[in-house]
Amino acid sequence: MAGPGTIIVALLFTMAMPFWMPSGAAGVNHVALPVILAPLVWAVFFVYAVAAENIARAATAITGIGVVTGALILISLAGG
Amino acid sequence: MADRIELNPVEKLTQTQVKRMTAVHGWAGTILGLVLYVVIVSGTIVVFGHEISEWSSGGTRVHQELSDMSNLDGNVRAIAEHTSKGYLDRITMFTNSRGELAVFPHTQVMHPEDQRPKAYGSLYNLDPATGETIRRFDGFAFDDEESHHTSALEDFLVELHVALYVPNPWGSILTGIMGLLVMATAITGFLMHRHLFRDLFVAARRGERLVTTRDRHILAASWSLIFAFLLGFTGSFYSFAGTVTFPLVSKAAFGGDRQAMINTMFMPPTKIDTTPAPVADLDRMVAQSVERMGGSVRFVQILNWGRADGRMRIFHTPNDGGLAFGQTIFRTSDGKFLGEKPIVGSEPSLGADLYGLIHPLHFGDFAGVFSKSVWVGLGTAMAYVIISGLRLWVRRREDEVLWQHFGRAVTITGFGLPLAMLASAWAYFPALAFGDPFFWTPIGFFAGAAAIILFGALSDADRLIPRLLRLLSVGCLALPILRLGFGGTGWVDAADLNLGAVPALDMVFALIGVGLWFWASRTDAATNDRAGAAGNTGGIGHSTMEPAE
Repeated sequence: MAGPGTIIVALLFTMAMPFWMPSGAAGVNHVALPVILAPLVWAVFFVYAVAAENIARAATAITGIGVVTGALILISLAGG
Repeated sequence: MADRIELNPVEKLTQTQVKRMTAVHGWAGTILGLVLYVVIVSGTIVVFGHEISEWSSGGTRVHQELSDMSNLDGNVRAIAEHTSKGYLDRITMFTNSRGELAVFPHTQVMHPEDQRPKAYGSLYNLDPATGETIRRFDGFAFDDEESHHTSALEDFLVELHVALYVPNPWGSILTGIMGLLVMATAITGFLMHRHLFRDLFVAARRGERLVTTRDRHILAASWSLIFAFLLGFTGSFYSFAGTVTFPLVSKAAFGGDRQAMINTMFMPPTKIDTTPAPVADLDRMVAQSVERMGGSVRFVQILNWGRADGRMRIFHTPNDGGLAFGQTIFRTSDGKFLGEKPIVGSEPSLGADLYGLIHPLHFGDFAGVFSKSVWVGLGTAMAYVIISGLRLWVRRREDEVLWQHFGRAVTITGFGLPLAMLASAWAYFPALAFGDPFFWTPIGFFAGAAAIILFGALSDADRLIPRLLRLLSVGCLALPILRLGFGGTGWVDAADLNLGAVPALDMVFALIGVGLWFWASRTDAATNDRAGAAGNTGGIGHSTMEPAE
């Protein structure tokens, strides 16, 4: 879970970021920040996965985030 | 008092959590550690890639910045006038380490192998003084490394670091995963750490070899902890941006149109106007840009040559006190300054600020040789952390045959990688004089690596490290002689051309060679002592291939 699982969820989270992140006055933050922050997004999931006291709860939470962001991507792309 | 301010995350963790963290730290490092070591060592060396290029290129002329060239306008205009209109969408200009001016009029064409638009046109390498064409590369010119790299040695080392010589996109993805691994081991190492601040200043204990290796591993890791995290983060950004994250984000935000995302992020906003228009004096625009921005000009690009919507983008290295690259935009039809442009977008933003920080943090070139030297020092510490960590792992399992073999693989990789890199340099200089250096340099590396693996597998385990050290020493000491013998730039010419990298790197190799010889002698003596002690007690000499502590 801490390895490939968190990478997949981090990529889904990164891909979904342009849908909810404000683009800012320059109109680029919603695309620039996901590209820049993708490794840090993974780091956050990774730390949670390895350092959580209850590993089952961590796995459920991370999988849940993956499912929600995946659904957001599918809905947005289908609607778009 | 020290205890009160000590960061001590481990005390808040349960034993199960610490065990899990130790397992992740150890296994992740063990499975991918040797590959990571290649990325770290090659990356540490290419911090001085520009200097290596100057030192090894040969045939160098007086190096001029784009801003120092008196006839940039004439040279570029002569090429533009002889280029068909379809290739005047973009004209890129930069200088190379031989002091030549590169001018590349091109358009974007779908690359048949990469399946994405890439620069297609004719790239000229010119003598900046006379405008004479020295070389010309047609088609997807950047596919030919020689078009934009003057040193096959520097090109090889960069390629090794960026993609491990594995075809893209897999090479970049692999090094991106290595970046994540650095972050993972740094985070878990930090969380496992009992006394972070104290360990920064505690010397390794002598005597007990396992404890000494552990102390040294922790000492080097403590000093390079933040650096490792930053390099892992910025490195995985570079590796994943082009191959993974950029396509994903462009799919989400632009329906998969990568060019639209590139235009939004990096191109100056323009209203299309194809009306023919003159092109103002390029030298004057460059001079104005230098006056405003300070730092030297890294490269220049003209968009839509000879059209009313033509723009000139001028990229500057950071000026005094700055970290990020700067960019100015001019209208080419009348030479009017349109403003400074952030690296990303057309107005300042958080995204642009962070984007601008990634380059200096990864390359360490924000304060010249000083910051680069610090980056090399910390990179060396990281390489040591990997090897010492692997050794610790092996030592705790040294009764098992499999781990003994792995221990030998660690030693061969640890000392063999720098030796194979030297072999690539040894292949490069003769090839520069007689053959194709872009072909022979990697051949030299892989042939050298194969020979070292064979030597390491067959050599007496107790004598392996001193032997590898002596080979490294001789390889370093003889490299400047080899360079000069095959027509490399001499010290007198280097002084005339203001190429400080030439004598500096020759001296660095000589000093490293001498240092390695002393290290080998010391290791030999320690091995002899151990063998003598074992003989006196009737025991068996230690055969874990360990150098003197």
